[in-house]
Amino acid sequence: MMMIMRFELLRLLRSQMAISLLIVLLLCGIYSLFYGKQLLGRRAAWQEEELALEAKVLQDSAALAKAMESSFFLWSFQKAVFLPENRWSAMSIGLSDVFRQRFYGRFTMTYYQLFGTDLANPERLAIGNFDLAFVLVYLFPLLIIALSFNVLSGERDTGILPMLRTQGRSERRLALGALLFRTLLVGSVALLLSGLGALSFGIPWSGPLFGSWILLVGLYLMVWFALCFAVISLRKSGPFNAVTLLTAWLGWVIIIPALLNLVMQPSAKSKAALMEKARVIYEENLGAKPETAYPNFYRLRPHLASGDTTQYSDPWEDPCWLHIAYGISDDALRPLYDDYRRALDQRIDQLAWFDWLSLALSAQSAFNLIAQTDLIHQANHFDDLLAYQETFRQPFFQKIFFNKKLQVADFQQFEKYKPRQVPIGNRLLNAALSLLFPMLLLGAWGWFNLRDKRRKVAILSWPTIMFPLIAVLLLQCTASKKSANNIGRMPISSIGKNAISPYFSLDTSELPLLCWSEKHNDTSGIIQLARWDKNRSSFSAPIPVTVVKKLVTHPEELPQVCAKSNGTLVLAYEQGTPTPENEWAGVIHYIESTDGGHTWNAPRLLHRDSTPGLSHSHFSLARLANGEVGAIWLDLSTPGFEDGRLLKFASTHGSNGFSQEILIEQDACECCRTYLYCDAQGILHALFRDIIRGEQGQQWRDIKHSISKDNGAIWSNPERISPDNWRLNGCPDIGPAMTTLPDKTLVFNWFTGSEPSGVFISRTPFNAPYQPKIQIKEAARAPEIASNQYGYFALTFEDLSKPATGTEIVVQVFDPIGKPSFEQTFSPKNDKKAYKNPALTVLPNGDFLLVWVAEGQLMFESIQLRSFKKI
Amino acid sequence: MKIRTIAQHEWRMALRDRRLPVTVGAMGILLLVAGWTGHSEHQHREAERMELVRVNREQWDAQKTKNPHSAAHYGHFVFRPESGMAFLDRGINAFTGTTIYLEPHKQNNANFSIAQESGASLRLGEMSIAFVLQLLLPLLIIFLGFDSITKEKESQRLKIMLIQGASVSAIAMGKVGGILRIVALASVPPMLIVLLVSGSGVPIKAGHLLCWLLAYGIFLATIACLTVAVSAHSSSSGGALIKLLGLWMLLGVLLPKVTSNIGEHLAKAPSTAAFGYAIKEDVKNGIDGHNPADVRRKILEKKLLAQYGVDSVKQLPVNISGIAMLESEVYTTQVYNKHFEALQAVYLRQNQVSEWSGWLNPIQAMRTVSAGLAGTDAFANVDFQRKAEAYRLAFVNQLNHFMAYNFRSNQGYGEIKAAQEVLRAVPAFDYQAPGLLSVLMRYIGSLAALLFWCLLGIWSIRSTAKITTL
Repeated sequence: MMMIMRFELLRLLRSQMAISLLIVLLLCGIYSLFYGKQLLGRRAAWQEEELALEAKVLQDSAALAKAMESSFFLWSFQKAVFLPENRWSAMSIGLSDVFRQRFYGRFTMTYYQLFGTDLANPERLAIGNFDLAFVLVYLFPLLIIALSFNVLSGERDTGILPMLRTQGRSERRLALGALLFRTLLVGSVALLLSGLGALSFGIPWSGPLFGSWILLVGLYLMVWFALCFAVISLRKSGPFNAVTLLTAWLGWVIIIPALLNLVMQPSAKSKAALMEKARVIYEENLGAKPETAYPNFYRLRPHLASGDTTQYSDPWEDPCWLHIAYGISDDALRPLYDDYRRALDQRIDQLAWFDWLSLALSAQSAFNLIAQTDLIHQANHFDDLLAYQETFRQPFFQKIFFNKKLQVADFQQFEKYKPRQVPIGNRLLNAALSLLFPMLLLGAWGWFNLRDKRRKVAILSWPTIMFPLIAVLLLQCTASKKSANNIGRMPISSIGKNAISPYFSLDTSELPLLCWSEKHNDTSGIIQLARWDKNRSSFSAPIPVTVVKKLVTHPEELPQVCAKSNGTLVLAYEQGTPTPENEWAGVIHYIESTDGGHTWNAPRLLHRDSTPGLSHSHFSLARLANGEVGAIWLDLSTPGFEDGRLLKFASTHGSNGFSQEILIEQDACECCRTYLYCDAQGILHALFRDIIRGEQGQQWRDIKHSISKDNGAIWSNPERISPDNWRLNGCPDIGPAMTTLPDKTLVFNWFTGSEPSGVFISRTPFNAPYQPKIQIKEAARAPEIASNQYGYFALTFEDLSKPATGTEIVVQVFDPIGKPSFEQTFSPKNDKKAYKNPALTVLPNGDFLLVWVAEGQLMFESIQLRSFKKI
Repeated sequence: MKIRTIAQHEWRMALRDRRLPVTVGAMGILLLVAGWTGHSEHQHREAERMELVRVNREQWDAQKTKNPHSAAHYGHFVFRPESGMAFLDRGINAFTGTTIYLEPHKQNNANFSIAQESGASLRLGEMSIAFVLQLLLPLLIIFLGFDSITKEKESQRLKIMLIQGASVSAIAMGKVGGILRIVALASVPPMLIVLLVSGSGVPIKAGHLLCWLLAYGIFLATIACLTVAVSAHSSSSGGALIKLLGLWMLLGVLLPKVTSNIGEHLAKAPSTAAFGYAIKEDVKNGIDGHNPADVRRKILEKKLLAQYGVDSVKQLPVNISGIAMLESEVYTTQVYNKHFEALQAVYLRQNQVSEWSGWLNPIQAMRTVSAGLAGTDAFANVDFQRKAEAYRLAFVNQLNHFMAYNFRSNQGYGEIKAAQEVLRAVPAFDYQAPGLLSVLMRYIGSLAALLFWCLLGIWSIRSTAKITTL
């Protein structure tokens, strides 16, 4: 092989055409770097200019705001938002010159952010850029074709081939040697240009992005060499090879992308229609009646309510009216924006799959992804900018809503905009596979064609078997990635929002509904809701439901949502009402929504008792067989005992809300979560920790189970599911959970501190006595459980066994006979930080969906059905 | 030997080639797909636009009685219609905004370009009939003609033909004729089908279409002449093919990008921030940096008091706020127009580099002429923006005028109301694209460059007569 390569080197040095082509390509590459450098320079100069102008604007604004009514001034104020410097964009400009680079932070009309355009010469945009990605994607394949089309055919035409063969060298070996030399040569040029680019643009060499870039460049060039190998293997003439390869280049680089571009053209209507609707919504709300506008505004912003919000009969007398009218308009626009974003995400996913049809498109998309100059990153900016606006205006609102004057200093303390990191790993993998797959197939094809026909076994040689096999495996791997396109420890909530207490239920289409709470300020929390979008395999953008002062939220007391069969959502939460006598006093409120969670009615008490200073807490909701929503909760204290609580049940009755309380148990543990579950047969199960009192005052706190077959009208006598005999004079603050399997088997899971302690499960067949418990993990807590239609059930819990590395989340999946079939651990990135509050549910296809809290941010991951047999 | 005989011979030889039906068929299918899909997409976009126009008008008409200036602030959306020929050549349509929000006091940019929601494929080209005619048919011509003379040389047939009395230039011209017949076979039937089918959409202006087809005829003939001339001047078929492919790559792909970049350097466009700030300053301080807004208002007051012979503003029989807004609108429009025209002048200078390079590159000359005639060029885009701006000024001032001369200055903002009929009397925006003559005048330079290339092509064929190396 070395001899062949040495020969090829000598031949190259003698070929004026090859050297000329290499020089031309190098010059093109260097020009592309110069072009990228210019772009960075131009953007830096613009930003510098804009910073200077922005300083002037802020100075003027500060002076104006002082002189004018602060709140009135702010409605039209806007400040520039600078996107972080993106050096990668010089390597692959992508669509960054088409997208907006300049945004504004605004106090009103938040969604107008979507409707701007930067100045640009459209003719120049249409012609496109001469960046390094263009040189690599467009021109490098031509060099490869020019250097390789004559391999073997050249030797054949000059009569050298028979001579070489008499020396014992096979055609395959000769072709591979020649192509290997060319691959190294062309690859070195590509590497050199990429390295020069990184050096001149200040891109770190050692980062994963540069590694991904090099890998993708390598794959892209190799697939072209594989194509040359396949064409050469046909043993045709040089001109035939050249024409075939050029036709392939024409197809993959020009015709297919251009055709896809025609077929996949987006509609310009979506945004225009959104803007038209925004105009109407803003207009309507500017003329809204105060009696509806004020409650709607303050429902989500109680921290801005100061004194009597109904003092203005004419809202235009209220200096904050514009903010209120535009605020409720923005609330009304949110679902429309969500629809728009969902459609955009669907489009992004479709585009990713069309990349498979063209090598050039696949490579270009991957380069843009690395350089963050693609549609995904631009769409991400929309989301982040909307969240950013909410953050930066809060300090101003804290002043103007409380009649405080703005100061010059207020305009000098804007928080910097920091977009979230978009996870691109799966998409890059998709791109890499879309290149690797044709490379292997073409390689195998060439290998097979260039076999020595005198050898009968050639057809069964390892590359002809392995290449297609690997290619098929890759395809399978990619197909499996399809459903996981957006999955992979994806964040649901934003960083810094202090998310806590995720809770799952299913909507009427059996798709997950997730609610959780976030810290709103020191005294209140905001409840958020997100739906599972099966098309995106991801959650919708969070919908803020309500802000609750003194919201009680922790893993044992979480806001919960439940859908009635008519689609009405019922959301319940506990609000603290502490008194000097009882700091744990609280009430359980519930609110209802008939439009999918966008608007909610006023809160009502879930329980009948409303005596101030008493406790009502630890509730659990479930949809009943009759389509209504049932709830159990810990009500007042057990008569005669300070620590026991009454466990009660009530259910909704149409629009009348919760009524007809029924007592299930009168001495339940006072601060452990309860669990209400309705199985496939419509049987209601109530699980709770009970207090079993001894004669000498000792207590045992074990889990009890009670059922109702008539939607909660009559409950069975509660029974212990396991005689743990956890002797404890105090509350362990940790409740049970359960699920049922298709064969009606009941599976319970819970924690006990009795020896042996830890998280346990018990599988009890229908109508059979409770079965002995099985220990899952000793140092664990917060167990949750869910099952799917195939009889698998999954368990998740916090694993406390590695204090040195922080709390981990573990998911275990068991097969229908209870044998462990899968386990996965999610560990925090930083030592001594904790992952906590796991919650689990099932998707319609049988996959499990896990969410947990990672350092204040809510994350999710799907545990896919096909993974269950990994162990 | 007559040119026609050689052309017929070339045609017959081509028909015997088994590769021809594949190449011609592929090209025909591409044209059909590009035309058919392009047309249906074009119709879909137009239907969407019509719907948006309808909703916009309904929203406007649904306004209740309100202050006329508030109604003006409600604003109008105008949506750029695509020309009837937009499906033949997409030009820069994907990169221009499709919607402008018109409101008092300011001019907004055109928003929502298709490119803003496109994927990476956008930068690899947009399939259309023009794309096939500008890039792919020249490639077909190159494949048909690279060896047209060289193969005659290599097989020594050229000598025989010369002995029979034919000149090299006549043979070359005959070859050009033969190639053009094949090109016509590949392109004319599919284009006829597409044009006949597209009759149901936005009407195509016959004059524009004829000029467009004629320009492409000239362009393709030029490419055929140049290809055969290169073949005649080359010593081998391989050498001719490499030269022609190199030229195709240079002229079709590289040069347009390079000239565009040069244009961007020669005429520096302002940043969005600087542009906006300069307008803001001019509106505040006067176009020349003096005569600020409050001074202009005082002058107006004095003028009106004198005109109506009253002592105070409250005694004026007209509404001074309405008149001030009329004046202010004229003023701000002047400011915006000044900056808009300056910006367009910069873009024009940038684009002129590409236009002038039409003298070096027939593909660029053709691209400019084609988009211009199809109404998908920068000129058509600017024309739309100018007409939208004229409409903005007209409808805003119609309402300001109503306010100024139907109310008195002592009436408060809340007392000034325009009935629904007044608002509904605002006419709808009706955009008329520039006529053929103005397009031809605008692109006279590129047309001349195209003709120059055609003459050069013919001259290059005639110059083959001097070839002595056979």
